[in-house]
Amino acid sequence: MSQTTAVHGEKISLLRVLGPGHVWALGVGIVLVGEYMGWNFAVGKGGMIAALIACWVAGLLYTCVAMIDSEVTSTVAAAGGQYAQAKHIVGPLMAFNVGLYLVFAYTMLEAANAITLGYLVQAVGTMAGFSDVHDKPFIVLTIVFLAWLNYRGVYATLTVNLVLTAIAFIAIVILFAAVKPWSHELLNHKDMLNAGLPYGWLGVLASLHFGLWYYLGIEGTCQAAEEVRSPARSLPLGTMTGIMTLLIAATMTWYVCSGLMPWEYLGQAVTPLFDAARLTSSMPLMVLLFVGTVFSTLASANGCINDASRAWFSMGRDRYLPTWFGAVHPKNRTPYRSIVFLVPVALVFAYFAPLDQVITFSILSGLLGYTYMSFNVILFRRKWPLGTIKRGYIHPFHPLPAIVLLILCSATYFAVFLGYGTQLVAMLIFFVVASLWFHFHRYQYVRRGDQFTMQWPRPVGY
Amino acid sequence: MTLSLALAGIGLATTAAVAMREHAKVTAARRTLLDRCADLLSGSDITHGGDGFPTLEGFHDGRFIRVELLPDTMTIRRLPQLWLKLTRLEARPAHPEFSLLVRPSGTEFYSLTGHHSVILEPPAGVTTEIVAKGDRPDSQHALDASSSALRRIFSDPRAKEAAVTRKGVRLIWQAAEGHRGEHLLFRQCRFENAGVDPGTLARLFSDLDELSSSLDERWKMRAA
Repeated sequence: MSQTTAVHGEKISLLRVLGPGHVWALGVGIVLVGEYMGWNFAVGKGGMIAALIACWVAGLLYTCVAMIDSEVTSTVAAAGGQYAQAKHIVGPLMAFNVGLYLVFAYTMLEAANAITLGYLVQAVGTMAGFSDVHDKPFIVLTIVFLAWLNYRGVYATLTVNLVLTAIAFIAIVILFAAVKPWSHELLNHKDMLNAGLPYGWLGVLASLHFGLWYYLGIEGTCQAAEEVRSPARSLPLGTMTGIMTLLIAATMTWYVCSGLMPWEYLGQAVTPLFDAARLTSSMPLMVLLFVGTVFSTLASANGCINDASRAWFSMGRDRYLPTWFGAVHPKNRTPYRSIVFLVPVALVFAYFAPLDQVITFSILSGLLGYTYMSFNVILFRRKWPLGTIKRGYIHPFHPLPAIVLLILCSATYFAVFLGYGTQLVAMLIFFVVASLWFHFHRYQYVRRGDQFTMQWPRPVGY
Repeated sequence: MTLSLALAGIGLATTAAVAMREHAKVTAARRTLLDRCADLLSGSDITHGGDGFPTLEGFHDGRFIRVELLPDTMTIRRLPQLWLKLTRLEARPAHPEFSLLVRPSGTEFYSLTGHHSVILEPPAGVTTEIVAKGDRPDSQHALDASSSALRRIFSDPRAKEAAVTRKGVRLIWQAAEGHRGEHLLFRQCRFENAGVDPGTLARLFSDLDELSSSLDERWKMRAA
């Protein structure tokens, strides 16, 4: 490709070659871990059918997220995703909160991955005859090892995991084919249909909470704006087909698991796909799904440590947090203080909290971020109407996606409240207290002039 | 059970072996990135960091120059960047300092712009996404005197930062961008085609020359 210059970010394209296919593949790769664990708690909230409806409704929520994020990201030059957007469009207090959402969403996901991995080792150890195997040491080992890997930064290279992540994806497809979904030899969907909606339509609403887990993070593909050949075409096409693929993959996962396990068990399983493989009594399938679960959780946890520490580091650099966190290791060139600081946070949650609660904290943080996006895009269009600044992509039907997103987010808050009201209130209190601390104490240290790095015209009304 | 354990052990050992081989391959590929440029400097010396990235030092027109490759993975939602950092030591003890940084995001740990506190007006004709700063108000005059050289430097979209301090002049230039696949799925820092072309480095040296000359000319004019 030609050495064209992208306007935004550091994307001086040596490799401006990404098409919709690349965006699709990478988007699916990022969210893969959601198929291996967590989604099945939606079954526990409202039964099999409710989980499927929740999965599809969550797909609609993420379609709105992808449309909105594609437009804003293709316009805000400074990389950093929603955090940078909040700095430019809303203000420092919002940016501080968005930074915290990111840190919590990633750190809790990291803890959830470690719990899953520990449980898996315990389950396999027990199957192999080591009945005394305990999951806690493996949880600690996973978090500490990955934190060390991140601390080492460019000194460590583990590209072999690219292949292993591909194996994790193929494992799901093989499992689907192996259970012969066209026959009733292994699958038993009769009971599922008989069970219907055990908690009625309220259960469907409650399931929406964990329905988000199937897609959490897919909006990351929108950040590829500067590398794709034709952002206006490739970005929405790649992201939407990514969501559709996940929707199909989620439905496949749901179909296999719901046919193999009673909903009462599936609704609280830690490793649903591995359990599904165990029920087929096929050793090769069990090994494949074991490997798939291990590597998808490891890859996900590693990415989470990386992203959470960088979000924390950015907030330190911007003086939203003590500048001590904004330090870079002189040799490893990593945000080592942020990495180390977040290790005990992840450990506390992974060690003491159950998986469903940890996932709830992660989903809540993500949900707060999506709620912010609905307000953000309306403010963005109002302050800088179409034509006043150059946009790489303009999402259609504005403000409908923002309104739909806000309605779905509100419904999901209610869903969380139904099952995890204490966690919801605790988290909101935490963010309120943190915001008060920022407003009344920390804000005096923020260099306001350094915050705005875009040469945009003065917003309408200012 | 013994068979299962044996298979698991073989699997782990194989994965570890493949990972170590990959690691050695990536590190080895990094070591040679500046090899072709060594002839541009007299008395050149190439050293390597623990991460494998090289540093080239030597003299160009009698002035000491250090060329470093600096991987940057510090922001979220962005691919890793490989920066080429050129530092030319030439003391100007009383000269006002200034620096210009393109597309700042606040996480540029390698940048000198963050150390300056006075916001300056960038020269006309350079990209709009740029921040200019100095250490004192009269840095603006020094910057204005070098505006022609700065315009030339920033006409290259890969230029990231130009800085003038009392110790010397510095350019930061984008050498490569990380692979999206490796970064997205395992946050790895992998660059391909990152080798620095001697012709490009020679052009960057001439950019440094021009910037340095503009500073000297201003100094001479003031002295006169």
